[in-house]
Amino acid sequence: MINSISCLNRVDNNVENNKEVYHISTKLLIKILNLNRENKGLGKLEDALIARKLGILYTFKTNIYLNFKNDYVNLMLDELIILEEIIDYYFNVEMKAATMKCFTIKLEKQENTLVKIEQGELISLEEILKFYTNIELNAKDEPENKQTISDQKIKVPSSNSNFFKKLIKLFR
Amino acid sequence: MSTSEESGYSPQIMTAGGQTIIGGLSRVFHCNFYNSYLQMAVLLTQASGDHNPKQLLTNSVTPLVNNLINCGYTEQDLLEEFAFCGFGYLEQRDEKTWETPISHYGQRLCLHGRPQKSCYFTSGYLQGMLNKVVTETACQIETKEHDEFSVSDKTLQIKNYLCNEFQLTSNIPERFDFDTRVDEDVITATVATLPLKGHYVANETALISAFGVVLTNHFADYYNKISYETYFALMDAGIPKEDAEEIFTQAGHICAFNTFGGIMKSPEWYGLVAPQCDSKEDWFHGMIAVVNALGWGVYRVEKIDPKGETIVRVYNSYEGVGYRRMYSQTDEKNMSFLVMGGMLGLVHLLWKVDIREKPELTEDFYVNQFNNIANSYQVKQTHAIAAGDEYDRVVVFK
Repeated sequence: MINSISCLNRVDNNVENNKEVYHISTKLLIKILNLNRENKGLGKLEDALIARKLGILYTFKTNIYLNFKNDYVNLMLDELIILEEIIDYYFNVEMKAATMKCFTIKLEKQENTLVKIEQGELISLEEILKFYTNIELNAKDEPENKQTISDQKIKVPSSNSNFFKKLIKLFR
Repeated sequence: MSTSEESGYSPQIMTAGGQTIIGGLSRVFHCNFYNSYLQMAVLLTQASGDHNPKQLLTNSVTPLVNNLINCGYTEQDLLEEFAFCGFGYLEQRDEKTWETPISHYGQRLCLHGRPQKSCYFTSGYLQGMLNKVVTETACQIETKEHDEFSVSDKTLQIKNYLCNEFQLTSNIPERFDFDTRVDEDVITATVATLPLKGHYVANETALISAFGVVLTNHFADYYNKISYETYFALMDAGIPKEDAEEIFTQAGHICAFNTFGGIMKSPEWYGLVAPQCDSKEDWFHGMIAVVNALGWGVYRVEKIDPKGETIVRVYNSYEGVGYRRMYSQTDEKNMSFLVMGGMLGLVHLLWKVDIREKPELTEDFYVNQFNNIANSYQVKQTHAIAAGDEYDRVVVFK
C-alpha cells in the first residue's frame, strides 16, 4: 500500500556497505517527470515510452539493465545521480537527485503498513500534494509537530495509514 | 518518369513490386514524427562501447549518395534531389561551409531531450557528395538561423553496406476476397499521382507538407541500417528483446497515428476514399490502398476481425528486403518494426480511437489514449522476409 505512493523509499534491509538503497515507485517517478515537462511547456509523453527509454538509457550508462516498467526500481544515491542526468538530457527536465530524495518515505524495518513520518517524509508529502492538489504544505517549518501540516489547511489524521490511503487515491 | 516542373529536376522514378526506386535505391515516404522517433531511438544507445549512434546516423547515408554518384548523379542532381525528397534546401556558403536555411531535420523534428544538433542525415549526405568528413556546426533546433555544416580536409571512404543480392518477388497474389466496395487499385494509382515532392528553392516548398505532417521521400536503406544496427546494439547491451522491438515499433505506431490519421482526415480522403466506405473495415482497406503507394511494399489484407485478429501480409516489405541486402538470413521473425507499428497504429485509429470522428491528433490526445490500456491491441510478426519467408505477416490482436 505504502509503496504505491512512495517515489523513493529507503529499504533498510538492502543497506550494503553503508550505502542507502532507494526503492523508487516508477509510476510516481514517471508522473512527476511528465508534470515537470508540462510545467516547462513541453509535451507529455506516454508512460510506457518513458519507462522503456529510462530502461535503455540506464542500461547504456551503467551496463546494468533496470526495468522501469516494473512497479519499483532500487537505486543507490550515485545511481540516482545517473538517473538525474538521464532525465535532464533525454527528457529536458530537471529532477535533482536531492529533490527526489525528498520523496523518501522511510519504512519501519520490514513493516510497510505503518509509516513513521519525519521531516524528510513531510517534504515528500509536501511535494506530492503540491503536484496533485495545489495544497501548500511546509514541513520544514514544523519539524517537531510531525503530523501537522503547517498551513492548517490539512491535518494529518491520527491514523497515518488512512492519510496515505487518501494520497493513494490521488495518484489513481 | 516524374518531373519537378518548377525546378526542372526530373529524377527517373521506377516502381517495382510495391517499391519505389530512384537512382537505383528504394525510397519510402515517411513523416517527421517517424523520423523524430527513429532518430531518438538510435540516440538512446549513446555511450555504448564502439557503437556510436551519431556516426551511425551520419555515415549510413554516405555510401548511398556514393551509389547515386556511381549511377551518374552530378552535384547539382544531388542538391535538387535533396529538395525533391523533402529534406530541404542545401546551399554552399564558402569552400568549407554549407548550410540549409530550410531543412526537414533542422526544423521539423520533435525532440524529447535537450535541444541539440540533429541534422546527422544532412551531414552524411554532404559527406557522400563531397567525399570529405562533414560536421554540423549549427542547427535550427538550437534556435540558430540556419543549419550549418563544416567541411574538413579529411577525405573518407565508407564501405557500401548493401552487400547482398536480393531480388524482389514478382509472385504477388491477388487480394484476399472481402465484401467491400473499396477499389484499392484506383486509390493506390490516384495517391501515386499526388505531387508529394519538394522544390529546389530556398523557401518552405523545399519541404513536403501534406496531411498535417511533413513528409520525406527517404532512403529505405538508411532507415534499415540505422534501425538494425541500433537493434543489435540494444541486444548486445542486454536490453530485453521486447523493449528493443517496442522502441522501434513505437516509431511506426506514432507514424501511423499522425500520418495515417492525417490522411484519413484529409479532403483527399473524403474526396476519393470515404465515399467508397460503408464500415470501419472499408476504411482499413482504403488506408491499405494508400499505403501501397508509399513505396513500403505490397500490403495485402488477409483478415479483419477487431475482436479477434487482424492480419496483413507485406510482399517486398522494404524492411525485410533491406535486411536481406545487408545481413544473412535470421531466425528471428519480429524484424519488420515499421510494419508492426504501422498496422497496430491503423487498428488503433479505427477501433480504439475511431478516426471517423475526426479527433484532433495532438500529442496530448495520443498520450491520453495510449496511457489508457483499455481497448488497446498488441502485435506480433509471424512471417518475415528477413527470416526467409516469402512475405512479412503481422497479426494485430487484443
